[in-house]
Amino acid sequence: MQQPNRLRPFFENITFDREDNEMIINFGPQHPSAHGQLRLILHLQQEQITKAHPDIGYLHRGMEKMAENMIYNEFMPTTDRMDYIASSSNNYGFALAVEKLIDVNVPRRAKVIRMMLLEINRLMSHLFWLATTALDIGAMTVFLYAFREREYLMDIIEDYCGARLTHAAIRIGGVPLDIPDNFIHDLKEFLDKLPANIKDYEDLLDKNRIWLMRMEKVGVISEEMALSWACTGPMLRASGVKWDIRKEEPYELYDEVEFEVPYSDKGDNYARYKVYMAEMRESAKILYQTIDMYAETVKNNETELMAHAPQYISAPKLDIMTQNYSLMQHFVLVTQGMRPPVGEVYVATESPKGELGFYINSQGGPYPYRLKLRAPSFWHTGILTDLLPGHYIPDVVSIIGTTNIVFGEVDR
Amino acid sequence: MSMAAIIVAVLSFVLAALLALMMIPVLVWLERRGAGLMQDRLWPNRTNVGGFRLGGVVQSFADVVKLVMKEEYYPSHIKMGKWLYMLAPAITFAAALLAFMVIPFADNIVIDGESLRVQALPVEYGIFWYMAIGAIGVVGIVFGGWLSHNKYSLLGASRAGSQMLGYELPLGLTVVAMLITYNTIDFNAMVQWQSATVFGIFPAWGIVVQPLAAVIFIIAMFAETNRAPFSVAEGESEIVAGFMTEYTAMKFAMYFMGEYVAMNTASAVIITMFFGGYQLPWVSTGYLLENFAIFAAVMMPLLPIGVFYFIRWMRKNNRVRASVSSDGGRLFETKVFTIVLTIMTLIIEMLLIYLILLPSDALGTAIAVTIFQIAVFVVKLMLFNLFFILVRWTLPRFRYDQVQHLGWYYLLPLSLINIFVTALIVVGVS
Repeated sequence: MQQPNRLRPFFENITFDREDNEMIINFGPQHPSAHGQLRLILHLQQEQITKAHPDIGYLHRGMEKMAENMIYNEFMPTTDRMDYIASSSNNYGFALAVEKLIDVNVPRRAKVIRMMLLEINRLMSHLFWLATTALDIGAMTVFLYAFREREYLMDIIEDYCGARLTHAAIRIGGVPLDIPDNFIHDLKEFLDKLPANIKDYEDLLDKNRIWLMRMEKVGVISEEMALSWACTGPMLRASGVKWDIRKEEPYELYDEVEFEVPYSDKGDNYARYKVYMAEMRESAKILYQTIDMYAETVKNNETELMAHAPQYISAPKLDIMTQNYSLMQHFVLVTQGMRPPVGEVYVATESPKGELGFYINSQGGPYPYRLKLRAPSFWHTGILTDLLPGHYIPDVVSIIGTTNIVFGEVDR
Repeated sequence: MSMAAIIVAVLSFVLAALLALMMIPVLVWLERRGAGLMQDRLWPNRTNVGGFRLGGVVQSFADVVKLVMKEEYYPSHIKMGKWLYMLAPAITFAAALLAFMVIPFADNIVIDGESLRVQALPVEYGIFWYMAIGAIGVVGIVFGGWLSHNKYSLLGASRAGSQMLGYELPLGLTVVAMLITYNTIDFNAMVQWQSATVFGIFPAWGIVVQPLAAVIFIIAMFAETNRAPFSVAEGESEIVAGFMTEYTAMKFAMYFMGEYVAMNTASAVIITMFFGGYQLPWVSTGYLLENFAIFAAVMMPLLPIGVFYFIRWMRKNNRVRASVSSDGGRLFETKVFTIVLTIMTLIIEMLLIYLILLPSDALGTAIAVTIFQIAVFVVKLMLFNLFFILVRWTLPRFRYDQVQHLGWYYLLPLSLINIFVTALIVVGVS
């Protein structure tokens, strides 16, 4: 028998050699459907789980500590590595928090472009979710179909910022670039095709008996459970709470666009699946509206992309090249970084996976005194402890799938 | 034993071995190609030997070569029973292969008044042989999973074992119903029974006579062969690779190929029992023997037309984009295949002319009919294999307990009811 180790008190003391009928398996961190680096310690009675313990930290990079030694603009690409499925959402969450801190107004055109990026990222994330969940349940064809569509979106994003996975496409105070010429055309083309594609997936899955058997009444999260485990996003909405930060505390231009908040009160895997599918449709709806809004800004000749706040944000390139004072300021901002006023701010945005919050405590220096990330996946990993017991091993896979956890975000 | 008997026996054995073993690369290719077609993507299509790609089939051979050349690796924690650990994949493979050997590829060929079976193992208890040998395959899986000393392997093996128990029963009970219907356990006699018609219109195929039994049998066959949606024993997203987790190189390949052989065998058994085996609908062997000249006359114009279109399709598709400088020998491949196909067509045409002009040549007609039936059998076999593949790429996987539930709660009672109804009807009719 193993001897308990007092120095490493937690997981290392699990006795894997059992005398009783219980089997303990390590589900991950190198497991095909552990979605990255999730390690689950499962206690099994035959195929049934009696106890589940998620063990995280295999992808920990210390982002919050890193942020304390970086100027604000330097930290932006690091946020890409959190939820790498929808990296612009993280960029945006951070940018918005800093903008609240330094109190600048972002030009309308930049806001529209940011909305486009956010919703494209939401679509990418949801398509990726559908793909991986379907793959975990064994429907490989849906996986490749969804990846095909995601590929188009990645191409569109690549057209905008040159990157496909870690975009870093948003800056504090605006966006670095205007959208390229063919962007709107490509996006429209994609959006026109999307309903047919979503219908394809639903034709394959919605009424599929096996899919229903795997999804319905599996992983039921009641409303109280969802609230007490701090679920957000689609996880919360599938449990019957109609809560969407885009509606409740509108940021950006979300109060100007029309969209529904899909929700369900079933709380099982299937409800979450339906919520994700409906949200893709809503995202497409928002994107159509942002295209019109962009055309409007073009018509009104609003060309500014970055906020005007010389103390915090560099002037446009033309000014830097031509005006002495702008150049000096730019030099200071790049070498020393902006110095936000003393204060603290918590800003939550609705990332594709739930409430993504950034808490920044500034002591007036160029580095944040403390930066705390509230990543939705972290809380959705925690709920597995409560959710998994009583289910079977294959359900572990489908539940992990529908909770949509991304380990870049959990471990940070 | 006459000379003809020996020749027929040897040839049938060679044919069975070819159909079982050479079908593996073709099926692996078909799986990838089918998946590619369904999933809107390409298939392995670059590997070639001197320019010959065969549409990608060469890739399967390259895979086998790779797996054979791989390091023989044994996990160090496997201490006891290493020989059984090595033997386990071979058991699965051999069981699937042996089970295939009782399938009749054509009706008994009559040479000099001697009726000879076109069957690798000329036995009369075909279905029992299949049930007995085919079920041994799971023993290899259980050994492999148990001796791997891995919890995931153990889970996979226990799943495979209990799934086999759950599905062997409905399978066996369905077979009982079919035995009552056909009144024989001989595969060949079953096929002969199916060459009649029902109500004078429909061919008396098993699926027409016993639709419920056919459905249960096909579902049970999917479970028997561990194919999706019943692939819980491997369940790559749940228990890593199930019983194969610790296997590498050729030992893994034996399991892998065994799965395809089992699928092929299952297809062969299904078409033999339910889809008229080697027979065309409405055409019995006797009719074919008497009127083969008519069939030959019909085939004579159809064959060159088909080959012509195939060659045209090949010339159109077997090429690279104009922007690619080297075509990797594809033009050469097309040329060779065009010549080979043309020559083959000419030879077959001449044989057909011979058969039309000399319909009294009993031996020639008998051989031609046999070859014709083998061709029909192979076409049906491929179609059913394709069905297996399409199902795999369409459906998600069942949960393990749902698989058991389906087997014990639905299929078993249904097959019992089926026996009851069949018995009532058979008694009523007689």
